[in-house]
Amino acid sequence: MRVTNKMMADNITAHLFRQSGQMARTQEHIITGKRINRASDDPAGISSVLSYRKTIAGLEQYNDNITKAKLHIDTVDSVLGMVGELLREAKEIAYDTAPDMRAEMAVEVAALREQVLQMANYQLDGKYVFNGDTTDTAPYSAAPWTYGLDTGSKDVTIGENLSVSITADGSAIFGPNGNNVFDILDRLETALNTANAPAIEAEIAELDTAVDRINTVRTQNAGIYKRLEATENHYSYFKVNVEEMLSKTEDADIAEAIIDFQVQKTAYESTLSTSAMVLQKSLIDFLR
Amino acid sequence: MPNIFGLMNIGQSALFTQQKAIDITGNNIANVNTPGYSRQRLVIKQGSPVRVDSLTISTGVTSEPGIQRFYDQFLSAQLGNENESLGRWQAQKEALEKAELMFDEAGGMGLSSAMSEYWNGWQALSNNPSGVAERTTLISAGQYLSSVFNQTYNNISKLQQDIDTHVDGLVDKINGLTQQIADLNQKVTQVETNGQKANDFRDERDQLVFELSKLININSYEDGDGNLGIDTENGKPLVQGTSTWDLLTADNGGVQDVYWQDSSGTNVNITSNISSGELKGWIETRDVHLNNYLTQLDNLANTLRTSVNGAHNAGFDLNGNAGLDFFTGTGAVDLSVNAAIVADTDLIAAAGAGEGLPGGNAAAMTIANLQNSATMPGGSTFDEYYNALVGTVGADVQAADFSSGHQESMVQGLENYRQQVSGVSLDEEMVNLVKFQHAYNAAAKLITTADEMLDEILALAR
Repeated sequence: MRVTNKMMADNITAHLFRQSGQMARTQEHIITGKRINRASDDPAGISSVLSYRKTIAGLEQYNDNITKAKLHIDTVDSVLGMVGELLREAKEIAYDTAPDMRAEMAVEVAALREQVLQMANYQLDGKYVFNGDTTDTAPYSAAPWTYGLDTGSKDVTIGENLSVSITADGSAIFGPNGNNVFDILDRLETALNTANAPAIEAEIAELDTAVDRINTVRTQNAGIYKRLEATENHYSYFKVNVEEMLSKTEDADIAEAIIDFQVQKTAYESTLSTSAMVLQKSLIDFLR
Repeated sequence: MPNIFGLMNIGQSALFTQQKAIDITGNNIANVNTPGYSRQRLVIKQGSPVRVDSLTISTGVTSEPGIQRFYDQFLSAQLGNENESLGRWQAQKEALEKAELMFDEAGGMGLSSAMSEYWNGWQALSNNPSGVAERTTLISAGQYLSSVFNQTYNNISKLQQDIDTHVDGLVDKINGLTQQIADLNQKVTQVETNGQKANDFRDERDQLVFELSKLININSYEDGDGNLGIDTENGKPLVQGTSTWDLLTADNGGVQDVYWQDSSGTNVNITSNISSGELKGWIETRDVHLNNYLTQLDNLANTLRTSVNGAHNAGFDLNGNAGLDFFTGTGAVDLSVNAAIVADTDLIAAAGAGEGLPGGNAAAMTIANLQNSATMPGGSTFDEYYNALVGTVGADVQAADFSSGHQESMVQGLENYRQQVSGVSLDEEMVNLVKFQHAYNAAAKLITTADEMLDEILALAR
């Protein structure tokens, strides 16, 4: 085989380019910490990377939704808890244990009714929580305390095509128009003022029903709250898993990259030193 | 009977021949790095002896008039073929790598994250349907998504225009090369009619053909007079003898197509016939790959626009009116958020039919759920469709990269073979130099000897 000078020179440059190309690539892995720096580095991998990133972005949004929903339920629950307390106080009065104090009791019932009204018109972040979707309008006004605006619920997306509905329909919570908590308390006040003992006692059962109704909503909400918490927990594990998968797919194994780099550097240096030896010498050096 | 003057003639022929051999050796050494140079050798042969009576009188050494050129026709042809593919894949790799940069996904700044942000914007709105901040954020996310669509599309279109410029430049280069080859045809035939060999012109011509083969697929053949004819696809001649046929480019449906002009001046569109070379690489990338990316971007933008608009039309804005179109436009290039909605965020329709205002959020939830619906043709979600597109871009680049790498080794391997035959080895030339120098010295010594012999004879007569 004839080996000519241009052959040697061409081969040396070709190999040096190839080796320095490899080193540049390995170095890029080390610098960026990523194995996939452009789509062509791993066309199948980049699709997975994008899908993982989308999943993570989605999970972050779902967690955000869940946090807001939990805040909403917390608020509703404490409001309804207070309403329950107030109604129990009214029930105490309805037992009519001190008939000579009926006038004072009537005043207290009126005060209780006003407090319950305030609670029913509770606003979270400037929005009425018990008026369905008409969050900008108070659900109840002063007498005749009619609820007639909206029966919508507060819906929250908590996953892919998954949502929960939190009751926001005032009539479902405080009772139907004509016999809602305000009507009951109003009737109780009137009965106390008119010293109508049977009418006073009749409201005990009504108040029980009202408290039960509120407790039912609170129980429902508690169930939703548990579901939200469970979902949130699940997402926190799931997110860690997806992040791990993402890292496995797109991140470079730095230790491996550094070892690769060392190996490539050694090869490159040996090419350089042998090339220098091969290129320098020719027959001319010995023809003296 | 041999005579002394005959001896002088032998010495002279040896001096001339060895000197010529040294001359050629020197030329080889001088051209050791000349691209396309084929080493040459003087073909030395014995002088025809003269026979007188029963005696044979030697006449020394002589050489063939034509200087031998070390050259392998077959290797050259093969090298040309591989060079065509190398040109094609290198061009494709260069163009596709640029397109890959337009999809800035590995860095996480591309369309994928813009879509995520947009859908999350709808979810945030569903949490607080009357929130001004949520509405404004959603509009910004929509505008960002549109602008990424616009930008990606425009960048790829721009790349197609850049490729057009490349095609124009290549065609000029091809015409220049064919003209030079035709000129060299004339020189080669002129020199070779005298029985000499136009080695230098042939080397130069072969080098030009090699360069030409990288640009476009060609067939070349030599006729009996030493003319090299060159055809491109479908037997369309580019060079015949000293005549050339020009290629030219002209706009055809928004892209520069390549035309071949026949002798009567008629232009024939040969764009789709070009099967290799850089021209093929650029044109294929422009017309097949980039068009495919643009079509898919359009599909994505159109389906996104129509499905979001459909759901938005079914919803109700804060004023209780049915939702307007959220997006306007006719494709990826002009997708934008409806200017009316940008001007008045109340016009975002978050509430579903029959829901109260301003807390209704059914429409917002429906739109947010579009993210995970198999809306695209083929039953994939927007993300899946787009991820597949990014995967396709990556795979295209990878294929071009792989093929051009493979072609590079092929061409280098063949070039090595060519160098084995045609290349100059300095060591070999040094050996020859020493060899011819010794022969030259010896021939000079021969003449001195003959001279001394003559002196002796003349002294006898004194």
